[in-house]
Amino acid sequence: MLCICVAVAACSESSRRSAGRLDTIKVGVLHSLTGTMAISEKSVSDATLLAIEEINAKGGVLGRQIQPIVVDAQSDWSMYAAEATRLITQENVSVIFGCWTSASRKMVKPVVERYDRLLFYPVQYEGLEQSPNIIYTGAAPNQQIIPAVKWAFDTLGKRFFLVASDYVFPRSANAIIKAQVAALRGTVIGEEYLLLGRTKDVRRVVQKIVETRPDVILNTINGDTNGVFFTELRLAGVTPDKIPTLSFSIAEDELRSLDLKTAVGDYAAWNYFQSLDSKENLKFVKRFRERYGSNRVTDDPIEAAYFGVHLWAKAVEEAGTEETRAVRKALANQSLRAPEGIVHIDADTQHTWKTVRIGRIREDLQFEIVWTSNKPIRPVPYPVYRTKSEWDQFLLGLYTGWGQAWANPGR
Amino acid sequence: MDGSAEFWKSALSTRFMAWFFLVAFILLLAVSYLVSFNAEQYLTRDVISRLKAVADSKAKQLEAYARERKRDVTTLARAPSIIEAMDKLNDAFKKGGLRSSGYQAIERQVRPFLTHYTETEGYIDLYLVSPDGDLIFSVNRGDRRGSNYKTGSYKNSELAKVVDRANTLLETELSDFEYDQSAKEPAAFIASPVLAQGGAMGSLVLQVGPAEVDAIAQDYEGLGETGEIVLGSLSDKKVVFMTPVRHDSHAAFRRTIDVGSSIERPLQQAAQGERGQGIAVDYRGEPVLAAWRYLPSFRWGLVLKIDTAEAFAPAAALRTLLLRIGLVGMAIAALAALAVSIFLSCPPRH
Repeated sequence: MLCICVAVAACSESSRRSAGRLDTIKVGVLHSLTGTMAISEKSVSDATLLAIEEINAKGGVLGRQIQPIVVDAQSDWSMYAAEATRLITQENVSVIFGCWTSASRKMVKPVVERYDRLLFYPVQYEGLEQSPNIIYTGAAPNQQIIPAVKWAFDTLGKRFFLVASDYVFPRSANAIIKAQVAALRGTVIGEEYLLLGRTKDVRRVVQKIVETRPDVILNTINGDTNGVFFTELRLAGVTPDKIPTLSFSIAEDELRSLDLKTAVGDYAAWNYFQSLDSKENLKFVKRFRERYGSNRVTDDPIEAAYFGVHLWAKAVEEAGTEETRAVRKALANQSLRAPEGIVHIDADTQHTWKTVRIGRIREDLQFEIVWTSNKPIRPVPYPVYRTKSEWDQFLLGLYTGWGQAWANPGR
Repeated sequence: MDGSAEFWKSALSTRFMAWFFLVAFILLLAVSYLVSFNAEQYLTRDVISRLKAVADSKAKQLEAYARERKRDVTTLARAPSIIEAMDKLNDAFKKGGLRSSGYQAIERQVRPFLTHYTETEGYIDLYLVSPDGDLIFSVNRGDRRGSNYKTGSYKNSELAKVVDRANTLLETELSDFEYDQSAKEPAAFIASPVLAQGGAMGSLVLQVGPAEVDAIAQDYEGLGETGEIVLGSLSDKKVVFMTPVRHDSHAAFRRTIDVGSSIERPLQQAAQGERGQGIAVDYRGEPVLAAWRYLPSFRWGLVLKIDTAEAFAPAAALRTLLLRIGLVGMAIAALAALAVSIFLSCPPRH
């Protein structure tokens, strides 16, 4: 009798396991693999896939393999919404890992909210947002923009020139910076915007920088326009020893892709640098290079995308299901040892506690860390300079001003 | 023939009874084992589930405590009286230093209010630090006034680090707890930038003791006879106990666990940012059921645990009860088997 019971139990366990092997958990990977954002997003997509491979190699999640559905949004913001919808309604993915620009995230946000799926967003951004359907693994403004500006104010000078791409992140970042600089009694002596992916006006902007001679340039240009910008700066005689540039969207991968030797000596603010000397980071860099080639580098959004997948997998295991509501609950206060150090999901905001770092670009296009908070900082998505409703109003103004779009269409 | 038949009849009934007895014995053992095993499994799930809930609740309490204290300091740093005191002290210090009559007059003017606030709110000390890093006021540490926290011997102290962080982040920040020799207890600093129309004027720092954290950590309600909370902080390759624990009231800042050692793995993992639950061996070498969490505001690991001996006590009691029932059952079965055996082995009377 006992033997029969044991045999029946063994058979049912075996059949359950073999059924599990056939079953997979589908996840969407939504990035721009072509177009102006490809120089940044291709590697983020690679890091996401690396994390998925690692988890699958260890048996997957809940005994099931993760099946990534990779989509190229072609640096077209409207395509992000369409592809996110298709991933959820046709491919039936449980979660989406994706986006870089805030313009693309703003397009995906209503989609994941409508179908109640989670989006893991891996890039530092302007804040002013909080969604129950987005897990923000990149920095909030108080974890990048605000400390970097204050550090520049204390270290480099009090007169700032703002140069930016013309879409929602740089516009919002600059609104925060202007409020902060005013509070610190500094001066913003120039503010210029370039259409995303266009290089036509770069020389004119650099000329203005030369004319106004600020102490520091705060750069929120995104994508490959950065290459032209730094070349023009150097041609105009603007060097880091005369007018240093502090960038918010240039990391190791952009330096590598654009071969930005011209940016050596300038600064960037992030939560992660490849040069971090920790056991977890050395392992991560080694695995990334083994998988994608020794010429490849890791950077902040790459690392945030990578640990985001691991956080999601931990939450799914803890929840015992990939169902959104249960995973969201398990993600609250979830933490792990990431390559950048300990990261922790803030239960109130679904943003990540992260360590703030400022680095100076070295000759080898890596960063020398010049300031660090030494501990994870609590994310504050809405900076205190305005109320939440005022920030919402500010964003609405941008959106309507651009004809119901999150980037200046340039018409 | 009769004798032979009786012999076979007797042997058959004895064997039959022996088999009956054996099967009953095996079944009783199997049932006892299965019930006991399932009870232990159920208890593990149930206790772990309760430990997780309490660990989450304790983590929330401690994080809320940190947030509330930071909010207090933020509010105080924005109070007109603090801004005014900071402004005047900065000015007087710059003009004539600590010994100048101007500084001393301002110091005498602001001291009563700042002392009253520090004492009534239960802080150890209150400091004002100038934008250049000079300590220009302290309620209790007059000897430290004039020290510079950017360049002097205190530049690597917890106070210097938290002031730098608060000033750069423009937020109120909590330092790590460290043992304060003068206060003779662990203490942490909470620093907030003092901002006014004129920009950053310096920093307000309040020093807080361990009493409230200890109270949360030493609340064992609902944790039975052996349950306890362990809070630990990673320091080099050791995890240092931050508060007294139930089984060692002198553990705070004295007891440590080497990272990588086989004991107290939950605390090692929690202090390194991992969260989880399961069975482990604690710092006493006792097997325990535990749930562990990371506390980002403190950079501590939190472990909530209970000895398996206590957690599984109901299963052990059930096992003992089942064994007793089994033994009684076996005795009854043996008697019944004996009776049936005698009955079957008796020759028919007709």
